[in-house]
Amino acid sequence: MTSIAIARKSIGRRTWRFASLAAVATIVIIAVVAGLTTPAFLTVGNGLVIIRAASMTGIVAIGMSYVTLSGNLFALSASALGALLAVIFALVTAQTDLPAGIAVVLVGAVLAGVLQGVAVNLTGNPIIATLAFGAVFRGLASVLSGNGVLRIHNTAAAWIGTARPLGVPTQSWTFVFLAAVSWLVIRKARLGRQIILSGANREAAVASGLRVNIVTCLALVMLSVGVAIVAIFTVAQFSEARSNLFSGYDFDYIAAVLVGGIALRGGQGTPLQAALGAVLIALLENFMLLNNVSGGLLMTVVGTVVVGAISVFHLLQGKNR
Amino acid sequence: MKSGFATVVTLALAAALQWVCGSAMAADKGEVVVFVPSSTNPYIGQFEKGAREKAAELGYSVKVIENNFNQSEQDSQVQQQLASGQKAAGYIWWPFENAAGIGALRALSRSGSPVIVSNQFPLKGTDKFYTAYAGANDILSGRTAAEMLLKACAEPGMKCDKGAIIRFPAGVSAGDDRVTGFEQAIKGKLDVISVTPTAGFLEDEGYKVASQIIPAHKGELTWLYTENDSMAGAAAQAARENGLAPGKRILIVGGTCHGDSSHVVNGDLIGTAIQSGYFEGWLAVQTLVKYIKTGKVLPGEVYLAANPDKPPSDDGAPHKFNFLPNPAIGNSEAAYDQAKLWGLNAKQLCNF
Repeated sequence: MTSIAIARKSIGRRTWRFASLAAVATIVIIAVVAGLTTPAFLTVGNGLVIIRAASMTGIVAIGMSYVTLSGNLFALSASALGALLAVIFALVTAQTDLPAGIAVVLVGAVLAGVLQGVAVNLTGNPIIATLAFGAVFRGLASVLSGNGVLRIHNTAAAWIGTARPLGVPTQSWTFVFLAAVSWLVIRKARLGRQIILSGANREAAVASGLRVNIVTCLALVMLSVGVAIVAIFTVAQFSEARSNLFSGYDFDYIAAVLVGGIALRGGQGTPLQAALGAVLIALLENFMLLNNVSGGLLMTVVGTVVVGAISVFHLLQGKNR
Repeated sequence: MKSGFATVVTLALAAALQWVCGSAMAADKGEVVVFVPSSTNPYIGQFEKGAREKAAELGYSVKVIENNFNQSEQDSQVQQQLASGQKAAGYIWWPFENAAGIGALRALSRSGSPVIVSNQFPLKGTDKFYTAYAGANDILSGRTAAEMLLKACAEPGMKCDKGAIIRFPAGVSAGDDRVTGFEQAIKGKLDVISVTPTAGFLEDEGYKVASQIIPAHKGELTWLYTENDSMAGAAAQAARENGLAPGKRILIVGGTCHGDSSHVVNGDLIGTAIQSGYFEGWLAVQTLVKYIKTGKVLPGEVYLAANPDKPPSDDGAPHKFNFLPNPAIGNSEAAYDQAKLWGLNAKQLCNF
């Protein structure tokens, strides 16, 4: 059996198709209930607001899904890396110009992804390795920023952060585009199948000659590029960066991946599901926010949805194997 | 070769001796131990800077012990500090979670050294565990913001009735106090449609909530209070995206200068007020040293004067509660440039 055939078989299509359908069905149910109970909910404007709210989490969640699908659980360094890249972007853009800022941040993101990939391969523990890198990234962001606010005054950057081509924010366009591209990568590209195989059956992947270590590095690079995009958007929108940006966001990224129904142990799902998970959570938050639900209850509901999603998909995957 | 090596060693020893002696001279009155959350938060970075500079001025050294926004970690740091046997001239206690940190505060109070609580207003029933409180008064901060808003609402052509509050995350006591102060001041004058917590304190978190609240209540919102200027600036951006001109069709106030001042000076915000991290750390050390010098604490509270040029005196005994002033600043370039507190200008105090 070829590696690609193994990968195709291991995808567990029924499970992830069910997961995708479950996410879509949940979105529809929440939308109907919210539409019937909340007058301001079912409007085009609010729909755009929800997609915009989902975009920044969703872009990183799409990148995170590659890490999960490759069998490496999660990277707990995403929010800290975002802060570091935001600080670097602000420093370079303020000193030179926007293209240089973007270029340096993307190179930094690739480097951060490779370094984390090497550490994950060496330690065999993605949680501990990325947690440690998170501390390194946050510390570097603090040192580079001098614990102050770094401001930029760049018209082109402000356009990137605040423009609305055809009435839709640039962040939302990017989110939709990346969701489509990531689906193509995982379903149609060789790299996508290698990521799935690495997560579904590591031993089989190694036996078939796949260089799993390189796949892990590439998955972390893709996550880091997603983080870089969000860092650039954030600094561009508000014209400033700080070392404490994105604090506490890692849970949001992971929640989107899990609620979307991507298998925790890897090998099953698509990044599109992570995007759907981000939309679902944004929808839920918007519904509760419009109904003036307290912050504590909101956290409780989102946490419960995550636990419920993990439990249901775990049971289904167990039956499918 | 040997001679060169000896020279290098001699120079290194001389430098080390000078450093040690210099430190000892600067710190001959003792060491102040400061417990704070991480300085990756720029406000806390400013707090540390103020504490260090005031301590150096008064002849003390400072040891800062940071936690990564984790009360358990901070509790453990307290145990380690006390177990080290090192006698501190005094402690400055900024708990990450006020209620959860009471056990550690009690332990510090039993060390025999004075304890000054800062930033997080002490909870009821904990009076015996600290010498004095020195820091911000968040109820005053909320009240100052409300007074600025009411003043702006009284301008000719302005119509204010319903509005919304975007507040700090649930559980942050400073957020509770600011809402309390704000609501007390607007009671019977303005209506609050909603009070919505954010996930943090910065622009992106403020924008996320404001961009959802504003379109949902577009026809009725006339004002927004956001608890700090970072979130207020983001709310102004969201208002403009929804066709509401800040300062004209909607009045926005953050109430504590923090972040980009351009939103204040261009009129997006109706004004701001100085709450300085630098002076909060500075005041905590000054209060501690005043107690060390006098051995007394005056009962009650004192609101320190918002003198533009002169900081409060180092002499005399501190009160039990020593509050930073919250001087308001108008929303013009001139007002911002002229604003000063205790000898430092708004740009120096707010740019963190």
